[in-house]
Amino acid sequence: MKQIQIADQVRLGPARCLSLTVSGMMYRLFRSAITVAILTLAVTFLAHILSYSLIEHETRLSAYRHLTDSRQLGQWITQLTSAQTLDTIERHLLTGDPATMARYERMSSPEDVAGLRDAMEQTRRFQTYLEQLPDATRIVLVGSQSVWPVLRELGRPGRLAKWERDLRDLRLPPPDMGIGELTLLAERDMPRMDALAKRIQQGQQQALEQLHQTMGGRTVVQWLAGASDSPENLATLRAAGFDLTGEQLATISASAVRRKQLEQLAAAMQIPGVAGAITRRTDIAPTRQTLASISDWLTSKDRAGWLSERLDQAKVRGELTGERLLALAHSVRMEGKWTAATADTQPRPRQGLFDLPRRTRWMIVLSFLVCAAGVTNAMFMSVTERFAEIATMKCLGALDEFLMLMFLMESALQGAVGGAMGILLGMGLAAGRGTISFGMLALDAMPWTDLMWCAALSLLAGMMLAVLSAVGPAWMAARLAPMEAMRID
Amino acid sequence: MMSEAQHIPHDDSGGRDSRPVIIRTLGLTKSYRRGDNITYALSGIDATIFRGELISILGPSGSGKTTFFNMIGALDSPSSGRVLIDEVDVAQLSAVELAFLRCRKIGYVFQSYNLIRYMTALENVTVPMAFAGVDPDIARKRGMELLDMVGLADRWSHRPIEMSGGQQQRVAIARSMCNKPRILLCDELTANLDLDTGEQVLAILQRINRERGVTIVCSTHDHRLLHVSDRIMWIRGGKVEKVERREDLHIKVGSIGGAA
Repeated sequence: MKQIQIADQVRLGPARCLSLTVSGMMYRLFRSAITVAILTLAVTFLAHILSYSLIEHETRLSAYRHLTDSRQLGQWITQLTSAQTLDTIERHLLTGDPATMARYERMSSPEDVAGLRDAMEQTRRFQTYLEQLPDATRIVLVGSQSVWPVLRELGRPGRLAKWERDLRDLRLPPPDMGIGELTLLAERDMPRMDALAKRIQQGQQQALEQLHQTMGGRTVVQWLAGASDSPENLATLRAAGFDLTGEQLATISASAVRRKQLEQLAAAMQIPGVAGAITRRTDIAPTRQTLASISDWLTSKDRAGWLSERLDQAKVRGELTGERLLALAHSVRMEGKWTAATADTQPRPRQGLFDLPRRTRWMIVLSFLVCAAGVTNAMFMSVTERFAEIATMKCLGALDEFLMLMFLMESALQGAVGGAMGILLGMGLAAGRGTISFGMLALDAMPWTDLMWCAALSLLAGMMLAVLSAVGPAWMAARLAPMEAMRID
Repeated sequence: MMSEAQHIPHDDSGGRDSRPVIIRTLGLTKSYRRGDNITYALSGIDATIFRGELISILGPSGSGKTTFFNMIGALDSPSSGRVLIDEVDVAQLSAVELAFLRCRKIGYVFQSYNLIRYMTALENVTVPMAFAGVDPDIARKRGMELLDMVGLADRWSHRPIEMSGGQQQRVAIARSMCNKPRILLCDELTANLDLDTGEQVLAILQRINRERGVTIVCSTHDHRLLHVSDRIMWIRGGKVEKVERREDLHIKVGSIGGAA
């Protein structure tokens, strides 16, 4: 009868492995702390770069959106004040945007526009031909002119023949429409298109004259400020060639009210009595009294009330009550911040979380590599100093896979702790930096959802980094011979 | 195969014994290659260890004692020859079966105790039971019984650093016994202990051997251990020099002049 029956060793469940791992980690807290610190650094770096770029982008974008309202008003004022230049009309004709074309048809006549559609198509093709030429060749051939002046030039007698020779000399292919078509376009259609542009311009001028009569001597801003989104007003604008919805008009009108009041305030500040009073109260010299500087000072009800009284004494208060002044000052301050935040460029839409400059991406990769080396080293140290313990565990029946799992779990836990700390640090820093750069704008436009993703990603990155770095050391621990336990330190 | 197993050339006493064999080695060698030189740590050991006996292995440093010990403990694999534990060839076992063998059938007690530093005495005792998949509550209960057996029940919550060498060694013995092994391998277990503690530990060992019928193999320099051993195996130069029964040994020790 045998005393010893051999069977397979039991495999421990993950929970059992985890509890054994944790008890070991608690004991070696210091060694863990070093690893965790390295991981924290790497994740901080990643989380900071990702979240700051998110915050920066979102702030700029929201500032840009805010600014479009007041920019729109500016565009409308220009359009309502004077007709478009011929250049602008020509450019719009070439884009062929349906809304613009419809407007132009009303300004001239539908037949005029329809009759030239083919010519415009040809012009567009010629433009494409010019654009695809190498820069240097194009400059030799046509200078830096756009397609309209080029065609006008080619329409002059004898010019086209010379141009054809130039093309041959430069060994360039002729336009695919053929020289014959080009001749027709330059000599016959161009004058007609010029005429059309002029007619459109004249039509605009006439429409605007009528509109200005309706305004009855008021400026465009004043008229817009008073214009509700009533059907008559919309009809008047439509007659002048502007198709607007009631909602659009209401927005523009509100902006115009603000603009009008700001103009009022600016005018009032020119009155010596008011300017002097402001200087005595605020120490801002009359020459440096601008809407911006006054708005910076105008931050309390007290001050606004005081200024409103001064305006009243100078008999220029109008609608500028204290409350209104306070709101105006706020809007001026915000506009200043928005303008500063957009840095005068239109933010382009983001392509995912990692839409970062190449250099930054490389820095993230490098920081992770350095960190991986650090973690691997720390884990190797941890394995080496635990040789006896690991070997003893093997003598006591630990399976290779348990030891492997133990070390991987240990590093995953360290990765999770380091990751969490890194996220807090990195995102905290990013939020702080955002607030310093953009003030409260950054907090208003905080992209919470994207930041959550960023946090999740950073945590995952930290854990992956830790686990991948620990694979080597864990393998080494698992492969250790159990007889190492017999060795005496 | 059977004839080979029954033929035990160097073991003069084993051949005559009719008790069942628990560990048998056949032509065991272990060599290390270093450059062009081959060093033999073991050069052909044929040994038989009987079920339920307490056997001591003696030999000077570098005699191959520890290597032999690792072989019969299934901790290392031989260059040639075979180790049979209860007639099972260790070389035939898979890693998972080896782990099973080490966990439940063989208990190990090390010279440097090898307790896990961050665990309490009780946790240390229960580690092999955890590896064996024993329910934690049952493991704790059995652990306390074993600590009681070695006289350390009141110190269950102490960590190794808070205990003396003798106490640590007793915890290690309790740990080695927790999965009720059939074989206990003790490597120089009294080497780091003073006289009194050594005696205590030996007493525990003897009790385990007598009361539980566990086969105990000790490598030692300690002559006190020889008094409690059934047989003594002398290893020198990677070979079994001689195997003696305790009765025969007493005469010799006496003649040397009472070294024990």
